[in-house]
Amino acid sequence: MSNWTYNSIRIFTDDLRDDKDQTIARLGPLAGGTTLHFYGWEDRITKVSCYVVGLTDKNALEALTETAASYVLMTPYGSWGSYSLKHASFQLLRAICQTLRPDLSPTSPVFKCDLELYRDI
Amino acid sequence: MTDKILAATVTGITNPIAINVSQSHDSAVSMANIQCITSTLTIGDHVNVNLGYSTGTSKVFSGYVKAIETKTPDGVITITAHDDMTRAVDYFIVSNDPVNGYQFQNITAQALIQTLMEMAGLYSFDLDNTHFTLGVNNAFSVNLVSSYDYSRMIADLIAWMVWCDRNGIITLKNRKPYPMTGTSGQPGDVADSPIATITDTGLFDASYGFNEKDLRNKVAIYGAEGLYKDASSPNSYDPGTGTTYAILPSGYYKAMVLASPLIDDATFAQNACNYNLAMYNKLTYEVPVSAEGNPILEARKVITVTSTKGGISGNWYIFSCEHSWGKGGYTCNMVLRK
Repeated sequence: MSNWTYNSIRIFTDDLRDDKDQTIARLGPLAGGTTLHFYGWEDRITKVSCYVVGLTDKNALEALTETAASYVLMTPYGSWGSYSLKHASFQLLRAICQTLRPDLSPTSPVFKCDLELYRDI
Repeated sequence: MTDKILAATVTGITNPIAINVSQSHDSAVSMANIQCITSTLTIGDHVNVNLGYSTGTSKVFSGYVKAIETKTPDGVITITAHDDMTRAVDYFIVSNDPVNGYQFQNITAQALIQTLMEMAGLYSFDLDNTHFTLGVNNAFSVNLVSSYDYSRMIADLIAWMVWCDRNGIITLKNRKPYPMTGTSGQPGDVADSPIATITDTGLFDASYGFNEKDLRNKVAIYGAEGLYKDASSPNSYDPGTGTTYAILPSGYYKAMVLASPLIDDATFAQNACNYNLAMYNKLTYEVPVSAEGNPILEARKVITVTSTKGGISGNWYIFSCEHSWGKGGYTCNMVLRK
């Protein structure tokens, strides 16, 4: 769970899911089976469930929804790619003492966070 | 299952999102609507649209950009273009002699149409010999009318059609809105050769019907200086059965009138009546179909439909054709007539 960052903002990842779509029109003629028309594809959408500690990082992530820019999602396995932040949701957890970030105060708030990231080649 | 990869090219645009090209027998111009994210086009640019699949594309449209609209916040640009005939549609003939206008006499219909189109800057032609001469006895003036409107009026008089093809060529032909057999005896009547065959494997849906909405069994002409001619018949042609019989109630005539000071010759007037009666005095069989996209399909051509579904097999005239290309696939929505 360590060493995950998005635009160098530390996140503690609980779950990651990649979605990839191809656009296919499925046409049904009067006879002869289905005809598929391949139109193109959609770039990857990555959904990350994670924890964020402290208001500073929470606000920094929120700010990325207003920049119209893409940032690197860094994982323990290397760069996952450059992504624009489509959606971020934060849920404040009932925590008395956080130990995820020893560099921060133990009373720092901990947020459960869901990020929806659009791959930007 | 059949798989095809869509492909399209448009002048000045990379990666179009959706393309719609529509054309109709009756319309002055063909129109293209192109959606994209980036474009170098501006108003008045000339564009070509090629549609098809990864195996090959063909030109379905050429014309001028008429409007550009950008939608926010998604930034989708919609470009509207009309074919080259738009020059004639928009060109308003204004003579510097307001009393006499542009004077013509004893001029063939095709020569007059060519002159009017050249006024609008159109110089590519495929004009058949109409064998109609206008202003045989009296000069007439052309002024304060668009080049297209006047040319279309002349074409309508002789039951022909003037249009711009997908290569920008102004075309004047004896083009009836049904498959022609070359047996009418009229000038320019050439038997149609179907450009394609569509079977059930390429048809998505179709309906079939016939009506007498456009049927006219009497045509009258009011010409210059009190000239009057008409043609009528109590019997009408049924292309479904290939027979002629009394379709309208006995003694009942649905009439149409052509009025023009250009007509000052009795023979011309009578021929115009006869030609229009032959074109209009018939039932209209109509089949709206949705077919798999094929760039070869275009309005004013004839195709063969081979189908196990009742009533739609045979040769059909493409009265209108809409090429729709995008995320929903590439389809052609056509109205077929005979």
